[in-house]
Amino acid sequence: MPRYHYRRQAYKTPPELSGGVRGKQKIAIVGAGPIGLTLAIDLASRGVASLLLDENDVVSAGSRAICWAKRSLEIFDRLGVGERMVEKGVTWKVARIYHRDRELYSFDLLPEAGHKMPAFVNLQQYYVEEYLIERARDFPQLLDLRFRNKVIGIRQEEAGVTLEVETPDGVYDLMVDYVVACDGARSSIRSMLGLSFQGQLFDERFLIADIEMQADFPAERRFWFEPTFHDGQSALLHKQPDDVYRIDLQLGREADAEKEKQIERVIPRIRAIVGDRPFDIHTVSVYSFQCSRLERFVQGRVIFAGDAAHVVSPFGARGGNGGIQDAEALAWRLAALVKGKAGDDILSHYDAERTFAADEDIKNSLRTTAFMTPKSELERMMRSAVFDLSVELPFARRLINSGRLSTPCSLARFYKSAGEPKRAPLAAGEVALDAPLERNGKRVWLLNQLGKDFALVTLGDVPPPVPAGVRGLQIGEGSELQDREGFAEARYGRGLSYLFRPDQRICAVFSEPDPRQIEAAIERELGRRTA
Amino acid sequence: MIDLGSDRLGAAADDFYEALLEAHKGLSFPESAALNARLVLLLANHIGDLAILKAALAAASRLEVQEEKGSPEQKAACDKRLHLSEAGLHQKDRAASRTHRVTS
Repeated sequence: MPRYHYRRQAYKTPPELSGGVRGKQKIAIVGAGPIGLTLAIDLASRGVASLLLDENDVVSAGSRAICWAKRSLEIFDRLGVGERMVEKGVTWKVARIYHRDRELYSFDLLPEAGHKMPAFVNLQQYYVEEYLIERARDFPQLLDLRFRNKVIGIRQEEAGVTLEVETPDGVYDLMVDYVVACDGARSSIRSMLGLSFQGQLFDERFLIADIEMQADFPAERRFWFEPTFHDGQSALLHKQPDDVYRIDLQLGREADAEKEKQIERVIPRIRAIVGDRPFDIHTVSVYSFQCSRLERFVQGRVIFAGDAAHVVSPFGARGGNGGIQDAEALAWRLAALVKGKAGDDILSHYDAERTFAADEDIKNSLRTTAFMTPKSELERMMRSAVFDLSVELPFARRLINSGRLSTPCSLARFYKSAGEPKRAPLAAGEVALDAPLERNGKRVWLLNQLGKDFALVTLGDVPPPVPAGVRGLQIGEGSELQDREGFAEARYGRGLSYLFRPDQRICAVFSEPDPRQIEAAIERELGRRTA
Repeated sequence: MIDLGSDRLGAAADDFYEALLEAHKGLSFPESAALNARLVLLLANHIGDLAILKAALAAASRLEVQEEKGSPEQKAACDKRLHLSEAGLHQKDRAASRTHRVTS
C-alpha cells in the first residue's frame, strides 16, 4: 500500500437539496482531477466563479500521471502551487536510452540556464491533486467544490445546460451557462452526449507498477529497448518522491492481462530489474492504450478538456501535460466570455488551437508506438540499423524514438498574417520563455511579472504608450526591470515589444507598437472582430 | 574528413522515418529490399559525390562486418553482461566493477 495517506474530502449537502434556492450558475466543471482543478483555480484567480463536481471524494489512486513538464509547472506556478510541486517532486532533465545493456546515448531536455522551472518534475498524481485541492480551498467564495456529486444526465438547450446530479442525499438539477467536461478518458459526459471518440486502438499490453524501495538510482528517465532483464520489447524506469519508482514493461500483444497482474508473476519481473533489495509494491496494473480524440472540443455549451477530449500513449508524457495546457487555454477565454468581454467566437479559438495541439500529441505518440513495436521484418531491420548507427553517428540518435517528451506546440500557424518584425527571435503563437530579471535589486522571473491580463513587454530604453487595461512592462535602462544576466535579450532581442495573451502566449510583436494595433490584436483574441 | 555523423534532418527526422515505414507498408520482404535498393540509388545520385558515398559505404559496412565477424565473441560478451545485469540496474556499480577488473 502507498505510504501516501488518502483523506476523504468532505461532502456537504448541496444547497439545491437543503432548501437553499440558487439560480442559474455560470460554469460547472465535471471532474476534479488535475485538469478540472487547474481550470477552476485559473477561473477563480480571474474572479470567475465555478462549480466543480466529482463523483468521488478521494484523490487519484493507481499508477497515473507522474511526469509534469516545464510548461505545466509554469502554469501551476502562475496559479500559486508550482513551487510546492517542484519542492516535493523529483526534478530531472536527462533521458538515457539503452539497447539491450548498451547505453546508446542520453539527452538533456533543458540544456540552458535561466528558467525558473525545470524541464520535468516527477510527482505522483495524488500529490498534484492534493495540492490543487488545497489551493482551490483558498477561493471559498468563487470555487464551489462538490465531492460525491455524480452527473447522471445532461440536457443542452439554447439558453443553457441542465445537469442531473446524484448525491448521497438525492438527485438535483443544476442549470448552468457552460459545462466543461474534465472527466477523463472514459468521460461520461462524452458518452451521454453520444459523441464519437475516433482514433486508433493498440493491442500491445504493458505492465505498470509503482514500487517503494531504498535505492540510489539517478533522477533520470531510463528507457531500454530489448532489455536483457525483461523478455519484452521495452522497459522504462522513473524515480518519484518518497522512494517510489515507476516501472513500465512492454509485454507484447499476446499477453494475458489477468495473468500478468498476478503478484507471483509481477515479483520476478521487478526482481529482475531491482535486484535483491527489498521492495513494496504500491500499485500494479496491465494497460493498453489508444490515440483518439473528439472531432470538436466545443459542442455548443459543453466544452471538453484533457483526456475527455483526447488520449495518447503514456510515452512522451503528453496526456496530463496536454490537458493542463487545455485548461490554461480555456480559462482566460471562458472568464472573458462570462464577464461579457468576449464574443462567442472566442471558444472556437480554443477548439482550433487545442485540436491542433492534440493532433501534434497524437502524431508524436503514433510515431513512438511504431518505433516501439516493429510490425514487420523490415521494420525490425530498419530499427536495428538505427541502433547500430547511433553508437558512432549522432544523426541516428535523433531517429530513436522512446517518446517525444511534451513541450508546448507552436501556434504560429494561427498568426501567419501578424506581420511581425523579421528580426524578432520569437514569433506570435509561441509560448513565453522565462528569464531571470532584477527588480529593486531582487531577482525575479519574467513569467511571474506578466500578470493575469494582456501584457505588453518592451525590451528597450523607451517605454511605448500602453492602452488602458493592458499591463505594460519595460525591461531596460532606467526601468523597473533589469536584464542583468542577458537572458531576456538573448530570448526576445532588443528594441521589440511583445504582446502576451493572459495565457502567456505571444499574440503580436512590434518594433514600434501603436495603441490602436495593440487594441486590434486584443479584439481579435477576444473574438470581437473590428471592422 | 567527411562528416557523416552530424544531424542534418533535425525535427524532420521523425517525419522521414514515418514516411519511410509508410512506403514499406504491406510489402513483402523482397519487395521491401527492392524498394530500399531503388531508394539507395536515388539518394546516391542526389548526393552526387563519390567520396561521400564511399565513406558512407565504409561506415555502413564496418558495422555490418563487426556484427558478423564478432558474433561468437560478442555473444560471450553479451552473456557476461547478461549475468552482470542480474544484480539489477546498478549501472554505476557495474561500470565501476568493470573498470576495476581492467585495472587490477
